[in-house]
Amino acid sequence: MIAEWICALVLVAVVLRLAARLPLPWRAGLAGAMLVAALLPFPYGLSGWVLSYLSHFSLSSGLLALVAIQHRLTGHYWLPVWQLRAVCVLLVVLALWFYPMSLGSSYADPYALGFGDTAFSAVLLLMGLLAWLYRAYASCLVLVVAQLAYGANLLHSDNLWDYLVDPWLVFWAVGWLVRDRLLARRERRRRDTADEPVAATTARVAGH
Amino acid sequence: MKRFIHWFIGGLLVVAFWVALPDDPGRRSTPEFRPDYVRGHDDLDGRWQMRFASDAETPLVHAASMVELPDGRLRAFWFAGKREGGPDVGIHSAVFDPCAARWSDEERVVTREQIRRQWGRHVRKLGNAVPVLDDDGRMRLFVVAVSFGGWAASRLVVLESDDLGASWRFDEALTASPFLNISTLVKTPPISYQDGTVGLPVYHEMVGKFGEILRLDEHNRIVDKERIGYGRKAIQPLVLVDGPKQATALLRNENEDDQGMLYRSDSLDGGEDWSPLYGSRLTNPSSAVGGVVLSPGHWLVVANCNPKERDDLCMRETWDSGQTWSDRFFFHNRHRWRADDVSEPVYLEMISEEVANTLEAENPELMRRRVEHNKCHEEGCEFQYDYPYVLQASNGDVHILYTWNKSAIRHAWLPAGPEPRGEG
Repeated sequence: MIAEWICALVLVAVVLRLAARLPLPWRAGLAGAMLVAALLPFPYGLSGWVLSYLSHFSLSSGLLALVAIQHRLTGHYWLPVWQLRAVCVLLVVLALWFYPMSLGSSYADPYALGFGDTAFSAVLLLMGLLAWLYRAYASCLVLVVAQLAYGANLLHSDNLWDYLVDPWLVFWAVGWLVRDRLLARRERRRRDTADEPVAATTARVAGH
Repeated sequence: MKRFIHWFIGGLLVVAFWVALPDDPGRRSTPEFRPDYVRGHDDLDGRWQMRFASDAETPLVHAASMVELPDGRLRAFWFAGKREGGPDVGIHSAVFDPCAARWSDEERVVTREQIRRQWGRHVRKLGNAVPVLDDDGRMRLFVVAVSFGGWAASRLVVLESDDLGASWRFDEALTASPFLNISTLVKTPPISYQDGTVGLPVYHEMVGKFGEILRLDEHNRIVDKERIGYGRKAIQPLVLVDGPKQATALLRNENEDDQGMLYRSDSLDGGEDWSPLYGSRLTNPSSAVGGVVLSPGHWLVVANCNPKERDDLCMRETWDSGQTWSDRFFFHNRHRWRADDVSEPVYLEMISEEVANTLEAENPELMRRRVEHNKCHEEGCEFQYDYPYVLQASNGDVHILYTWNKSAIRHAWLPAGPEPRGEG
């Protein structure tokens, strides 16, 4: 049932993103309707069908969906952008290494580490401690929740990787980084054009 | 307060690390196989008996597997329906009683709708099924289930039975791949480990084509996964266990640049590591292989024995762990009628002969019609004998099931001779 709930949260987050221009009561109503539609039992509910095709979403996707829902409904975004940017970069780099090897491009199989490996858990602890030292608590919480959920076998997967990442999270991270880059470029251009008359005036004054 | 939150999160990180640690790290690092050959029964001198396990009630059958029941009977499984991948395809089963030398009536024991309902996920089609009988009498069936697309989008579901395979309930879907959990299939017999875990040879055929062994505990929890080969080379690993640390895998060749023989890989550490794939000296047309270990180094392998087509089926034997092979027996050999150059009447005449040579064929005319429907086209007809599954029963009998022209599951039975004196 946890997999269905995470799927429902992701669907609600997507709906709220698409309906971002609607007034708040409409958005809240849509979110509620989507939540109900997603959680109806199979074959009536959306979650069963989505999970049939996409398999399950990771705990990280679920937590991210929660943050996105909160943002769309309250307008407040509590996740520091620098943390999000760092996590997205890390996710994309990780995916470039993890998915090709896990899908058979080499003898080494990083996915197999997720079935219970002390070294893998130790690496996660080190990463968590690094994030903790930098006070990146969101990343720490993702690691904590994913590992606790793995310990309780909440997703019916025996692999820790499935609790940490999924391909849709990686696609989202790529999209977020592209958007981040575009926004940064637009901002730079806006600043440049805003600075231009000042610079021209300064040049004229200097030439004069 | 900030200080408290900081240290609280740090504590949580340590707790989460502890929770995610493996229960038994030694299980992964020191695996040992449990060889299951039957001592004192590696001399094959009997005479093969041929029967049909299926009754031709469905137009198409394929991919048989079997397991020995505690009382010495065999229960076989295969998928059957109007066409491969069709929505009506289900898992069928029948029981062979060696005392009566007779197969029971074929029954439909698992349906697509049943799995769909109990799993709560869409299931488009069913495929290969492989059974495991646990020491406590519980039977598990690993079934290929597809929610969308073709076989490359397969997932594995596990069903359990408390009545030796007569009825089944869905247990769970195994998650064996990080990308949508697709492209995991089974075909070949499971192996056992000394700690009670089961090794399920599986293969992937979406991005890569390679084999793996999933190691499962009694709760169907995957405790380890080891890769046999990588890239796009070989599928359907048949694992032949010679000893606690020693095993060999023979794999169906899917390498487009190097066709015509089975691949091979060896392990000397209980399956923790497998050698790079290399040629096995067994000619094969990229088709499935079945086999069994009769004693350490003494193996029987059943497969198509030519590099082109599935129109023969032979049993080959090695006494030196595959260094040298000899052709032991040809169940079929239709090389001469290859390339659709056999007319339909002649073909059907030969099919009738094969049916006549099969004991207790219930409805020869229906069987003939099924073959005509499945294997004859405008250009001509072709023979197909494939997907062998081999088992040695605890009394030493050797049983082989294979797909006969996509129309029936044929059973070859070699009763064991009397137990040699002084061995047991």
